[in-house]
Amino acid sequence: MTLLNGFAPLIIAGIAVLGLRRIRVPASEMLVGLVVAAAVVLLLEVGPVPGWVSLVGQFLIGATIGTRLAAADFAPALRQLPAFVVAVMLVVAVGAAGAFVLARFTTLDLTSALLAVLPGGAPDAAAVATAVEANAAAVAAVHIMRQVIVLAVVVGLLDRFLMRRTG
Amino acid sequence: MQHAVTALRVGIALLLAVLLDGLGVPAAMLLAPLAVFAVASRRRAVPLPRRTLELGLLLIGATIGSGVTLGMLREFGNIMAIGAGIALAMIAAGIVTGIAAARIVGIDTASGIVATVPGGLPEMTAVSLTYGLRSELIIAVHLGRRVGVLLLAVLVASGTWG
Repeated sequence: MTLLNGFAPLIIAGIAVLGLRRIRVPASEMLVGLVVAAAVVLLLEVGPVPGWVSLVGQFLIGATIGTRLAAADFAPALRQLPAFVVAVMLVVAVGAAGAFVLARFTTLDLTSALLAVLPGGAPDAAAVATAVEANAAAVAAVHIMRQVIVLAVVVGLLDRFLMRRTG
Repeated sequence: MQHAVTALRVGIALLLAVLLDGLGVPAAMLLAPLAVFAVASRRRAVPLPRRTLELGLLLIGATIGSGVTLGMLREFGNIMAIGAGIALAMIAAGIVTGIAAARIVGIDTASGIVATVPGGLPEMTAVSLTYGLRSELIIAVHLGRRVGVLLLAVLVASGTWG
């Protein structure tokens, strides 16, 4: 029963994706899956989808990317990397500045605030927070929220203003 | 025959993923199959079913979405509100710097933005694939950021900074 409880958001999200395939929904699989699963958890108060499901998703995406990248030429990407390293450092600096604001105006200590806001991987940050007995729950919560916002903004931006899906 | 080849690649990728995860490599479950399938496909291309990517996107989306709980919103209301503002500021910074970097190196704006916004590595690589962007560059930038921030987080946690 508990197992089914954890899979309810995934099953309902899958049905929603299949149902919405007929109409045009941007990046429907990930975005609809995300929104519907969040709604199911919040409204029906069922458990979250087990973490290993995400690992299966990552594996499938990794295999697909690997297959398509086989013919890719990495040399231009390496030449272009320095400009993006500088760009990302600026983004990280904005996050670090935000951490001081977060620590100033909430109950979070500065270490927890920095781990919550620095834009790394959510599992990495939560693991480090747990190891040093920082507020790991808040750290994980802020990371999940950031991923949701980034995904919604980026997909919306790409679909509305920049381009159309290729497949 | 194609199924046997794919099954073999999946098995090797799983073994590599477990090994890399044990060594503490971030996003091992994404990177191991990526490396195995990229190398193997150079020798012999075996296309994956079209639905593979779509299923992967659904699984990741549903897992992230189901992580947003009512208790989380209640308990961390103030933290989440300010955290959302900081996330939006970082996204804005990512968009501006992404556009600038794309113009400097002469690539498309969309690839520049997806490379620099602070999203997760699996999610942004999936988005790059969905929209036919510069996946190799986007993976390199996000992987570099994730490893760099992990090192920074360890410094913060150890009290060196923070």
